[in-house]
Amino acid sequence: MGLYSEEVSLYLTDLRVNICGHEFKNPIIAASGTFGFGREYNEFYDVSILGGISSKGLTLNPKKGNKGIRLYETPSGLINSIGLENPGVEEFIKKELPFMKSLNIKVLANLGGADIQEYVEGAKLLNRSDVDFIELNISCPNVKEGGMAFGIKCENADEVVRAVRKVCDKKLIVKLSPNAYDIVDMAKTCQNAGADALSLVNTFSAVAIDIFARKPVFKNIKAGLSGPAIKPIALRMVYDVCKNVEIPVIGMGGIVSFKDVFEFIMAGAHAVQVGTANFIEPVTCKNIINDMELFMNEKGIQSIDEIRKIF
Amino acid sequence: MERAYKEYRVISNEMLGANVFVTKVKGSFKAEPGQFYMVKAWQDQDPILGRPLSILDIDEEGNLYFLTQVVGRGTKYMQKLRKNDRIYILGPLGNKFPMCKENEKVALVGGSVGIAPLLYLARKLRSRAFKIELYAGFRSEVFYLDEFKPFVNKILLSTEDGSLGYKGFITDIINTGEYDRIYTCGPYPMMRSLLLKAQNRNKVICSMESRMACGVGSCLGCSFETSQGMRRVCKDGPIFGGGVFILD
Repeated sequence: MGLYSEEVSLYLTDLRVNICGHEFKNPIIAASGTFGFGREYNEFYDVSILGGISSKGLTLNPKKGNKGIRLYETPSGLINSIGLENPGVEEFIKKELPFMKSLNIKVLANLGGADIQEYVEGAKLLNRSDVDFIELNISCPNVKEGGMAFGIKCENADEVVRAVRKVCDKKLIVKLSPNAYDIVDMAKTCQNAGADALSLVNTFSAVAIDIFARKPVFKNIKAGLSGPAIKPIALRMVYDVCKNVEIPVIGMGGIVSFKDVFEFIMAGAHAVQVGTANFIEPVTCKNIINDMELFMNEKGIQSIDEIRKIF
Repeated sequence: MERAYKEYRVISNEMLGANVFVTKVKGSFKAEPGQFYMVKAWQDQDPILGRPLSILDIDEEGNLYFLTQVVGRGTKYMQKLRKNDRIYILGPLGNKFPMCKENEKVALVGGSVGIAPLLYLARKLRSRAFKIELYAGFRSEVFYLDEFKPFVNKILLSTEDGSLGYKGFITDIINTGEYDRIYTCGPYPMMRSLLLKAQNRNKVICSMESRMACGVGSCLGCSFETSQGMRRVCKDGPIFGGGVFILD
């Protein structure tokens, strides 16, 4: 149960947000890689209440993901090394997208790739589909080739964003890595390369070591840290980026409650993504939406725009 | 219908040995043998994830029992639970053991705390099977076998150090040909050697253990490769027919 869930709604609040001409019911989007294509959590609550869902990270061809240990829990955090296990773009369009569209929510297709050609081919297919946004994943730390490699140096990001932009009429979100050399430079680079919006942050590059076996926990040694542990740093990055770009920003990183959501919005985010918190409690997003509405009623806040970027 | 973690109360938490304990939870639980629950002994966000625990038993009143080994922070917190403490539980989750046919000869093969789901299964199989024989393998300390006695015809025992029963692995002493159906749960190497020994792997039914984040099929943290493609332990399992395993 959420903190404010027992109180009664007195005022009408408007949770709607507009990103690049697309109206979201509310600013809560389920983050890529934590929500599949929405089917599983739909067995726990009606996921059509969400503003949107970002699909599991897709690649042009199906991927089996990484071998070995894929999960490791740390204080208030989770390190994962899934490695983009996914059915491939075509299978997604055929089998998963119709379900996502039937929910009447905004659909973000999260797209990864090993090289620029793969990103471009994937984007071409998605461009012909019913997705609302392409969220370009230049920040996955768990694939050997591509992925985060494009999200560290500005020149690499510039190249892939421009290439995809050329073949993509859909609204294009670029998902940034907190491991970029300079997150503000990276954000500006992607804006200039044609991104319509940005989402940040993906997971932090991290290591865990099994001291008894005297070897790294993960086969790839490095993996991605998420969860409440990263929230203050993610929030700082979102704040810095929002001060320096004109395009909308979708904030994320360790959000578990409505309070976290308002922090990201007050730092300048148009909307947020909720990821690891879905694992902590399957109905997290529902609780957050209810609590946001009750808090806004109580404080007399009529719209999300009213409290965005307040300093 | 909303399904979320729900708060329950602990009836008792009993140590069975150095680091194994049985937690009894008050409630009117309904689940099928083979299913599991995500369990937290804490409400705040650290540790953040529930622990996947199979059903040791559900008694006639509906109280739920878990058999747990202390392996890390989460299970250590669970071990400290006392009567009336709060416990948070999501489920039941996952698929179920297929029942045996009438009058089949059944073996249950469990390794250490892997015996857990076999007790609730034995309770449900007792009236159908011609006979049920339990093969239980332990490192050294033996626990919770008396509770099987009402439901099984015979208990065969092994310890790795020879302190009780056969000295060695439990899979050494089973003649798989004697049984129409074999249910197993325990460490993967144990299930693997059982599958290698069985002439017909399809009659072996395995309950898999894995690290999990969500427990509901979304995170893909427990996915593994089978002969039929990638499968999630939490959502496609935890029960799998022996035929799907790639035993390389």
